[in-house]
Amino acid sequence: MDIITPSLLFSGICLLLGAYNSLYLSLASRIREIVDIQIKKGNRNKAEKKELQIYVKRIKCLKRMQLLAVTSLFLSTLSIFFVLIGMYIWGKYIFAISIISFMVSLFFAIKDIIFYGKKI
Amino acid sequence: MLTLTTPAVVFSTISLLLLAYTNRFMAISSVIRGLHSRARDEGKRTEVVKSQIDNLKKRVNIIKNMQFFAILSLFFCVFSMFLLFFQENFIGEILFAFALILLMISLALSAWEIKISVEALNTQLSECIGEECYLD
Repeated sequence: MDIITPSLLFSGICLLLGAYNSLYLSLASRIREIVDIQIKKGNRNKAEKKELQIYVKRIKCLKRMQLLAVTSLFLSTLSIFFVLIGMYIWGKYIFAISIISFMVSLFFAIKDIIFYGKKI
Repeated sequence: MLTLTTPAVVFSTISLLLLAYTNRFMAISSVIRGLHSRARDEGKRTEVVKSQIDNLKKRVNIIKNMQFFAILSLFFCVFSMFLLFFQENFIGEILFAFALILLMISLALSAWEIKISVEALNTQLSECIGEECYLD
């Protein structure tokens, strides 16, 4: 493993974080909208309550995705650092964990798309 | 081991990170402004709005620090490239290592901000639905 091998993930993870960010912003603004409508109408609409619960679930999932992606980026940087100071084996293992973390984040993203993409 | 182009691998990632940070910053600022003007107009429910604004202000502070560390890290990467260009390999390596540490601090702050990111939404939800909709 080279010193720059972990950097292959960098741009991918960063762009993914940007995408997660946009998703978070749209979910959060939709939640605030619904809450406002609910307050004005007096908490009566059941369909909107259900919609709200789905959005809440999605944001929980999204938080996990974001945390995993940031962890993966952090671990990639850490592995470059370890290779830099000469601890190659540590660097390799930490890079492996970073890749796994990235994959789990993507797995949650796939789950989000499959399960919640339909329910709108 | 450290060639001239090695510090360059973090350039694009730091730039993209700064872009993401700026987006979050602007989104949170606009939410704060919206809440503020609504609270002023409507006048009631001020505790709910106040606790949301507190959480959002905290996040804005964290994002400011994230940006600061990311830019500092970029600076030291460029500086280390500069030194490597003039064959000062040892100092160049140390500065690159330092730049990586700063980048890791920035990412750790980003993880912290993500963790506290749904508290404001929680507060907003608490006044409407009840137990089922809490975010954790």
